[in-house]
Amino acid sequence: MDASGLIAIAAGIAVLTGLGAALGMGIAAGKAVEAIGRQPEASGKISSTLLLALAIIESTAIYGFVIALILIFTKA
Amino acid sequence: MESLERVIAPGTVSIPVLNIEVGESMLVAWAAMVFLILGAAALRIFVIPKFRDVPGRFQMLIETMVDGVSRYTHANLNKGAEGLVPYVLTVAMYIILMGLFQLFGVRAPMADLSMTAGLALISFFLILAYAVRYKGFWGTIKGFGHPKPFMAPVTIITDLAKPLSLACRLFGNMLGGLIVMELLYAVCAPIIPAFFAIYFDLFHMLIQSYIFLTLTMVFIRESVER
Repeated sequence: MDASGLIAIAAGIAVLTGLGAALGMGIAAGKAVEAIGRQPEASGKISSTLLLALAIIESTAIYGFVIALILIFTKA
Repeated sequence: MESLERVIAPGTVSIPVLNIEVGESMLVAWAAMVFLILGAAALRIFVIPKFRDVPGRFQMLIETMVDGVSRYTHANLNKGAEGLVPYVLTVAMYIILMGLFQLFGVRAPMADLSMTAGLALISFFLILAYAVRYKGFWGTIKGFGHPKPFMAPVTIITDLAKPLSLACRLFGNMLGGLIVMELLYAVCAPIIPAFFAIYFDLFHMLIQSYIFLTLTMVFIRESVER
């Protein structure tokens, strides 16, 4: 049986990790903007922390992406 | 689809004289290493003896770079930061140089799981080595059962997952950038991709090397203090 359709669906589900990452990044960025609004003089420190946090949050999405790629491009 | 597959899976190149096959990204990595070593030697022989108390422009640039990395490392680690500064600067230069090679049309060498896994393994052993150096062998083993001894399996699994997550994160980010650039080249060559290349080839490399090294330092600090 040809499973390529199922593989495509599986890859699509794997990429759904982007949902969580997007939510997390939105919350983090919103809070950072709030913090800068409250304390503009600390903006340098806040943005460097934000950058690091965004990268770590992003990695969940990246894991899903890597798994989707492995699903699609591995020859069974 | 054919060309995209070619982009995602790195090919191999056979070396004529030695008759062995090496990965494409391995070749680029060797080129980057030769470049870095020659650059460092040239810097040491020709530039550093000419350093003066009142710095010129080039000396200023080098001093700012080294000083910035040194200060950042000291801010992240409170023990043994001095020994880690050269490593941090070297890996940063290496990753960024790989990004620059990408601009000359070679396939981004960092978008290769073996390359990032190598860097992640170095980080893994650095984490262990720092723990052993500052806490001793038994201290390290005791550190695994840090809050409560029955938590030890969880801590060990977390430690083993660190190199995996470091490698996958760097690989995924690089490959993502590569695929986006490749699609852009396919859709709207030649002018528009140039602007995106500034972000995906240059800025992206800077951010990713910064994140990789910061995470390494944070993990080292955590394992030393545990």
